[in-house]
Amino acid sequence: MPDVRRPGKIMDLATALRNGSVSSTELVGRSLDLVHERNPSLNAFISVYEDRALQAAQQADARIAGGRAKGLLDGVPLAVKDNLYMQGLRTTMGSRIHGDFVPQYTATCVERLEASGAIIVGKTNLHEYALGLTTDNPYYGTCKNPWNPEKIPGGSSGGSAVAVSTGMVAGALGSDTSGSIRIPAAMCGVVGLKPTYGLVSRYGCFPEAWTLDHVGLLTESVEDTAILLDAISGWDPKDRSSLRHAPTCTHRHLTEDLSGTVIGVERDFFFSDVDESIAERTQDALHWLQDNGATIKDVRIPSLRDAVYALTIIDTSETTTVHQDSLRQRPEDYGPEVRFLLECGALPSAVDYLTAQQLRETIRADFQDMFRGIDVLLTPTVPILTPDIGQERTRVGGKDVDVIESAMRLVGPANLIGLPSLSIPCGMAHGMPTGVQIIGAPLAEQTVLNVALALESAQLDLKY
Amino acid sequence: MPEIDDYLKAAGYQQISEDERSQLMAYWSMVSALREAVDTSSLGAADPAISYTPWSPEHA
Repeated sequence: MPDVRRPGKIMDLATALRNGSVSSTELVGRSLDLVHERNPSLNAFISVYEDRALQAAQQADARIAGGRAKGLLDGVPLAVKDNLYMQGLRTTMGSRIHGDFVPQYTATCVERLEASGAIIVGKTNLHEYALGLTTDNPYYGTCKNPWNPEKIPGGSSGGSAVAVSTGMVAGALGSDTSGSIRIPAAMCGVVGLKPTYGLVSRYGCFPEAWTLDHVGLLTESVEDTAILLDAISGWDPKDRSSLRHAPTCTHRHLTEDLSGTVIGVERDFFFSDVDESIAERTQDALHWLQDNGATIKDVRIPSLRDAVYALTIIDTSETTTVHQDSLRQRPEDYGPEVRFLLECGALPSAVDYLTAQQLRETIRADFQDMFRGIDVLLTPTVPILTPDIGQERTRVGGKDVDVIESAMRLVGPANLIGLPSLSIPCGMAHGMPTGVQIIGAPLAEQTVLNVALALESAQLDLKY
Repeated sequence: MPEIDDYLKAAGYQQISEDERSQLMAYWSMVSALREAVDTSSLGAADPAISYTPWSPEHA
């Protein structure tokens, strides 16, 4: 039986804190106990802020006792991926190069969490510079999947996914450039949201690829996702890519009512080369949604045939530009896998990059047309079974495929055109969690969350 | 890209190993195959009616 615990969702913890049945000090203490117990084997955390967290918990307790609770998140233990800056606290980006780096300011998303009273227990492990999806970190330890420690947790936000999946924390921040929240969410059996590009500030998030980076969330439930999104979203004048949009108010408007909801299914791209059991779980989700009021509509997006090329060129080129100085001056201080990836990014020409940007616009236009007739697109999140640690190739549909290329394929388009995309657990495949991906139109987080909430009520994740 | 390591050296990156060179060649072959499949003529790069811009001026 996998050692995956569910000590409480944010909403439940908030209720318990308000009615006095638990204190924040107790919650944070339990969180820290779990971290001390599980982290040596799972490597979910790089840094743990025991004294800081307990002090903040005592302050939260005083506020709550005095009737001055800041909101639902006051006193709740959370974690933050270690590529998000916190002033005065080491932020490594999972790297040797930044191993001793101490930022002089705090990321806006973290500031907003702490302003809401949330307690940051520590910084979670990630793939080096968020440049990979295994979270097999050469400097801070191999992060392991709690459902089966011989398997990867996904990445690059693997530490955050493991911390939530094991109940070390009630929720965590991550970042997602080509699936780095949704892939570990699917592989660890938690909910992962990549919001619309620009909805959540990236100020203080170490860049991977500027036009693809998103800050997002991993939680145990859709309701918790809505609570966290409302806390961290909204315009930030310090982030030039930030949308002039008010913070979301999704929690208040959550509904499971699917009447009138049209769910698109695109089969040529999103259902090709998908493991049979994962495709079956996705079909289970579609059937349930249809049986409960939604309309299922087949759609076609021909330009998706070029999505992998466009994403590859844009992602690698921008990433290598970020790292060009370090790659020239100290290449030996990168892990070999990441160094190889950065060398790949030095190869495309300017013409290649601009062609990729044009393809991006074509794909965006096709999705825009598609969303005139549907509310969300539903797809598998990851098309392959969760790989073993160190596994480079796998078989799907009788074909031998690359693990990394396959795992990123279905989640990449939402990064390419900045659409909100959520992964929600949807049953098991060969003993490991799987997820379905719900993609919405720009700024349609409410619709995405509502469909996810409905699907969550089906409890498909309990089906083996 | 026949002399991939010379290209990288010219760009200021340090000499790569033989193993990395062959891996990069394999990667670039994969990417080139994807590029060959792209119908660039349909993107309208030379079409003034599309008025594509990769940059948005501040006044836009």
